[in-house]
Amino acid sequence: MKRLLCILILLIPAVAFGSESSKAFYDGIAHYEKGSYDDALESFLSISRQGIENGKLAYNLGNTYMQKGDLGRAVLWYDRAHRLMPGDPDLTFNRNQALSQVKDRQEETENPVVSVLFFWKQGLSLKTLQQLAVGFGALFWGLLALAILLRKTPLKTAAAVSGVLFLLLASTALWDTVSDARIQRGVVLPQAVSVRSGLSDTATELFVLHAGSRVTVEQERSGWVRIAFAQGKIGWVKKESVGVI
Amino acid sequence: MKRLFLFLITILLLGSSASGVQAQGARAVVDTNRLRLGESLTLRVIADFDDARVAMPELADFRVSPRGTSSRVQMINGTTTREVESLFLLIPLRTGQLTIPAISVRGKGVQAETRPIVVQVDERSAASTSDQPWSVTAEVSNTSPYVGEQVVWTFRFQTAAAFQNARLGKPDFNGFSSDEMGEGRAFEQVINGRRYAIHEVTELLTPQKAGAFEIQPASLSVSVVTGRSRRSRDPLFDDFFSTRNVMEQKLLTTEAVALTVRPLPPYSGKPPFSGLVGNFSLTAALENDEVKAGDPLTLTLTVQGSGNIRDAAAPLVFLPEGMKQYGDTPVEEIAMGPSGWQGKKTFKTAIVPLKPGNVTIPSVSLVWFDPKAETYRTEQSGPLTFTVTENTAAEAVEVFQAGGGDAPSLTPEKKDVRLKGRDILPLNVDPDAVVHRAPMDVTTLLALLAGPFGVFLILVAGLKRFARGLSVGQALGRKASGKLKEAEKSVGDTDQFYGALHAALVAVMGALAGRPVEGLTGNDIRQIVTRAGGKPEAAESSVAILEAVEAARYGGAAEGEGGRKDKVRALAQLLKEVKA
Repeated sequence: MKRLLCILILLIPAVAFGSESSKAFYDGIAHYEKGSYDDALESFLSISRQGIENGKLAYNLGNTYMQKGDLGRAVLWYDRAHRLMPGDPDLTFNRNQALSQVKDRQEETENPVVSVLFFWKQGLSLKTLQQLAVGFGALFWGLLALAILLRKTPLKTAAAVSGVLFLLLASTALWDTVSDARIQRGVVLPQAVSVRSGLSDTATELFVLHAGSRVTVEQERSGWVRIAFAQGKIGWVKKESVGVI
Repeated sequence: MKRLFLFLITILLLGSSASGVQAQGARAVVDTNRLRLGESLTLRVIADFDDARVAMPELADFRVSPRGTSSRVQMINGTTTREVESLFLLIPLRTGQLTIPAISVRGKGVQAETRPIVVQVDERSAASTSDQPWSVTAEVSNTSPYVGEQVVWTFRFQTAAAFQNARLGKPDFNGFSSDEMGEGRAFEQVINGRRYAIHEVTELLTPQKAGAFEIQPASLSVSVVTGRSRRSRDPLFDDFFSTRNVMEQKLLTTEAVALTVRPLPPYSGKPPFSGLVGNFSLTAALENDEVKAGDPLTLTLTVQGSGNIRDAAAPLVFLPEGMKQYGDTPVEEIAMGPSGWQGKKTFKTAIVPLKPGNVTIPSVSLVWFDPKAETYRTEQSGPLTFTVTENTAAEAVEVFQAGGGDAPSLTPEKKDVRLKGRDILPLNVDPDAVVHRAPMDVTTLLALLAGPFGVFLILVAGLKRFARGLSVGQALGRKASGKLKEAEKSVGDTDQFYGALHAALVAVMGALAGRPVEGLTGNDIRQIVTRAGGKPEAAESSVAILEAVEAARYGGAAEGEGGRKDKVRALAQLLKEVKA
């Protein structure tokens, strides 16, 4: 009885936390429907500030910034949502709508050969890919153990097939996870930002980027970040000008 | 004398650090403790350890521009000392006693902090700009524009001295979209009898939203000539007239410019508002006033004026029924003028009338906002009329169409579905949105990938250990049991049955002998069974099994299912006795 009471007491904060987030979520939806986008934003951001990463929440934040006319932050949140749920049709539509308003032409950086070879993972989120890799890993090692134990040819064939799939999925998931952690992608937030040759406002202006343009954040120093927009277009901007996806 | 010398050295050292404060391993020094708004000071952060990195805190009272880092190595009496110096240019943003807080400097395993420095900042100099040899100003053409109205921001550098290496740091223009207005211009002007060179740089700003805005100060980094010096002091080689300029690096800043951007007043007219702000006109013209049915006729709409004309969309044209229209890509002839973008945008539409008769295209309207008159204006062009005549050639062609010209088409004409409006899809209301669903990090993924592998290793190792614990006899007994089960299952398959039965017999004999056996004969079986203390009947029964197997495998004399099952039972009985 005492143990049950302890478990119930421990569960109370989790339930309260869940209900608080849910309340903020529904408040955000209600504000959005009424056209109070600032209030909607505050509600959705309060959930995000608790450390919750969720594609649907990020999509709603993208929508709210879009309604506020803040293109840079809209693209940022749509890209964050795309990272978590790339196959969502509503997200694809709204994200394309936002990207069509971005002034700078984005050069295609993905290798076409890689795109063709890895076509099968286009609609898969990183989390789904990781779960598939772990699942196939368990299946492969299980089948291999059974094949060794029972010495049956069909089990050996099944273990070999699942082993190949496991290798492919595990290597792709690991590569994508490491890339996700190491390569920081960002989005330009202000309407226009001057990309300079150095870490000061007086450094030479190399080129100008506009809200919503996607960049790679290479390093950070003294409140400035070095960004790469495309081949040969590298420079420094203030840290607050770029939101990291 | 020596004591006096030491005393002087001490005084000198103390004096040199009058405006700097020493902390352990790092110190901050400013070139002046007193300055005016619009002036700048140089802050040096010096650390005496390797790989020193300065973590400059956010300074609310200053604008900070890093000016690079240098390092010095000194070797005195065999002792090497190293100094890393980071330079920063600080521009005060308000008057009063401002504090540069402690600055953290980190190195390899070392962390040091400088001491705070207090700086007195006074108001700008009261002297008029014309009294100063150089000055910079920034202004806008309109401090209360409407959203979308073009505003010109002008930066002016006025100098009576020669200069070089001028570099302008423009503000961010947050809240505005900005476009450069050419290369800038330079001219001379005489003010109070003094000749000044004036350089102007202009930027076109378009407010994006309503509200109060402040355009941050612009800064100009420039080397100005403050005097001339003799090239050398060598009386033999010195040319008397040979002098060189004495340059002084200056950072000049303007004041911030405040603007109040007004929202456009509410619009309630019938024709839709085009979104244009400025001064515009609209013309509409037809290529011809007569056209044959089925032939195209070009309608040209031209929007001309100054303002945000680049954003102009094609005015809406309402054609009568029975006509098709195909829009062309608009042609822009827009250039940057002294007050912003101006020019014209031409929209061409091909109209194809399908039936003969007189056609009237209703007038086309353009509604824009005139910021000078502070009102919406509407310009109408048309209506336009033209006559559509019979197209005899088209009729002649139709005579030869399959199925006849009047035959109704079985399949309707397919058309591309085009988006009529631009909007985003609604919110996602799934309560699942508040559940944390982030991807795993590398460590967790590796752990989950390696987990089943670990379980597999433990399982295999356990199996091996279990197998290692069995004696040869026990292992062969287990094998015999397996083969007997296999034989029992494959009674209907001659080859498989006798193969499994033979393997079971060999394993049973091996289990009895306590070692693996090969190439069994009848005598071998009798010896093994007898030595193991078995009955002679059991030995003979096993020999009979061997003979039956050999007869079936090599002589083709296979038994029926009943005989096969008897053999399995006999061998199972023997195995049971062996295990017992």
